[in-house]
Amino acid sequence: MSIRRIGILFWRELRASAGNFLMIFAVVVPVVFSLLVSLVFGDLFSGRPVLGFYDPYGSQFTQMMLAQSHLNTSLYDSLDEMIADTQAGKIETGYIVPQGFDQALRDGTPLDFLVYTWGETPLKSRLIADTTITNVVSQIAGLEQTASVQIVPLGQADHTSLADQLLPLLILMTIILSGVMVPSLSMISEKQSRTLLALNVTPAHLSEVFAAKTLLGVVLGMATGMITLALNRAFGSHALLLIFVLLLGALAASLLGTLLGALMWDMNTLLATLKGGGILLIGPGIIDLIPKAPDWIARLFPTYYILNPVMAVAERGAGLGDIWSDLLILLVLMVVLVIALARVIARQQKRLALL
Amino acid sequence: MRKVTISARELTYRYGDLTAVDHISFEVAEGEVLGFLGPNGAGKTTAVRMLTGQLRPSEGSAFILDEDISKSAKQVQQYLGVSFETTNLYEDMSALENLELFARLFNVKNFNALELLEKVGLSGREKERVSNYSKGMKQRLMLARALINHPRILFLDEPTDGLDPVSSQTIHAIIREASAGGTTVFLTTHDMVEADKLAHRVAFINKGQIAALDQPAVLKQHYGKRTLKIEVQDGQGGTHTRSIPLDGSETAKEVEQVFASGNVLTAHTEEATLEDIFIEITGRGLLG
Repeated sequence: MSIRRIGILFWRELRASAGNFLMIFAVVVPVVFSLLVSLVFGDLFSGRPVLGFYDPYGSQFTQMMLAQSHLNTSLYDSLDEMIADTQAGKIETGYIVPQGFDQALRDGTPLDFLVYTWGETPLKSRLIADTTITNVVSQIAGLEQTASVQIVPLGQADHTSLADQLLPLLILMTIILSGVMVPSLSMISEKQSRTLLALNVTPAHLSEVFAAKTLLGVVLGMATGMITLALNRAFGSHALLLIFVLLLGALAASLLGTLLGALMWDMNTLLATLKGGGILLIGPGIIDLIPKAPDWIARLFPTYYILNPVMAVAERGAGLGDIWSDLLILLVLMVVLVIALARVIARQQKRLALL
Repeated sequence: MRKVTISARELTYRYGDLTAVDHISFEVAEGEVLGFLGPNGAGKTTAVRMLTGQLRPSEGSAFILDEDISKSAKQVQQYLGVSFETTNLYEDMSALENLELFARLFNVKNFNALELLEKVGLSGREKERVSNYSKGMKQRLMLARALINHPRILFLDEPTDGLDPVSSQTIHAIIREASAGGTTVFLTTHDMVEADKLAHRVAFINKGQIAALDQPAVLKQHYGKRTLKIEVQDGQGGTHTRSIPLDGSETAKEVEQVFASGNVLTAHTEEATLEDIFIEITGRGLLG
């Protein structure tokens, strides 16, 4: 194998993908879908009020508000930025905490407290925010609790927003569309245009052609996966680990795509196979949409071992120790794919010559 | 004596029960143009695929530049140029990009793509997408691609099939130039006229076997019948043609008699074509 030739073929692949409708579709659709979900569901149905604080004096009040887990809170360094974000609807309410706010609460001194509110803030959000502020203010002012409120959750207590529920499916679609579809489409197009025959009488080995296509799937799968995570603000705290698991996932998907492309001889068969077998690929993402679906069902799908490590690191802040067993299964699956691919390449050499 | 560049020894290929190429043996020398002639399905393309390392022979061996092609195909392919019968260019790329891609794969340095494109008559359109090219232009570009690594052996599969006379002439000129420069040319075709014009030797392949292999002139001499065609004016103002075999025992007498009549309008000799000889040897036509 020559890295130089793989590089040459990879650049050719990348260039060809830029002008191919199906390739663009495979790469752009998840990103567009992600943007839509983020814009529509992310803001309207997130369920948690989104608050901003401008507090150059570092009050206890702000610290207590930032610690509230049922709120989405951000601390701003710039007042202008907070006002701009409120106007744009990125935050629902922006609070300007005045100097000496905590002390004024304790002393009972009247104080102006300026608050900007986005005009379209749902009433539910305003109520939740106001109640929380009242509680925090009472605590700082040292007021005695005259009533103890006991909250009994009814219905779905561990509510997750629709955007959060859709994220796993979105991530999986991103990796599958780029990782599986791009190399398989490229391989079939190469066979149909018989250019693979022309490459076959150059010093380039068939395995180098396959490697270049796999690399294309990996790069695109990684890139779109990272964009999707970034758009959904789900990059987590272990960025390097996330990139690593995304790389493994994209590689596994791309190996599968290259294998499919090697086995299929025309575009219609490939698309029909993807349509029919697509559920097996995105199954874990769909199961995540079903509330309280048992985890073992998702584990039956091979792509679970692509999705779960990514989501564990991105959403739940998992470390390598938490996901090693899933990664091990993924590596075993990849070894199986590589063996299958090696066998297919050996057979392809003969079949190609008979095209 | 010129160096042998292609040596096929009992080369055989079977598709299941069908023997497509049946124990063929021949040698081709450096700078020689070998016309590999036969009808569709005769085994020409299968033979080329074995000689270029695309197919492993079922039996026998092929030595290309003294290397067993089935054992070291990739090393040998570095020195081969192959032009296919069916177009297989990257149509989403320009001619220039196609050539540059293959030059990089062959690791050819200091090559002048524009010069090569000018040689095949494509200069001025080098930046156009290949999908906009005509069949003749694509065929010429494939030939340019085959020449990119300055090959020692050029395999051309039906290079002028369905092309206009101008494109055909361009390709013929390139084949002659390559041969003069020492490149062996293995020309697969069913165009007998083309083979007669270009090939130093021709091999007739029929049902997977080589039926004859020699210089066109020798084959014509050996198998063809030479005749003298004389157009004679008859008494009623019409004309008729007499064919007199040149190798007959009474030829001289017959010719003398015809000319003595004083009614001869035209006279010319006629030799057998390669197609006539192919039919005579194999009992079938080239299109059959």
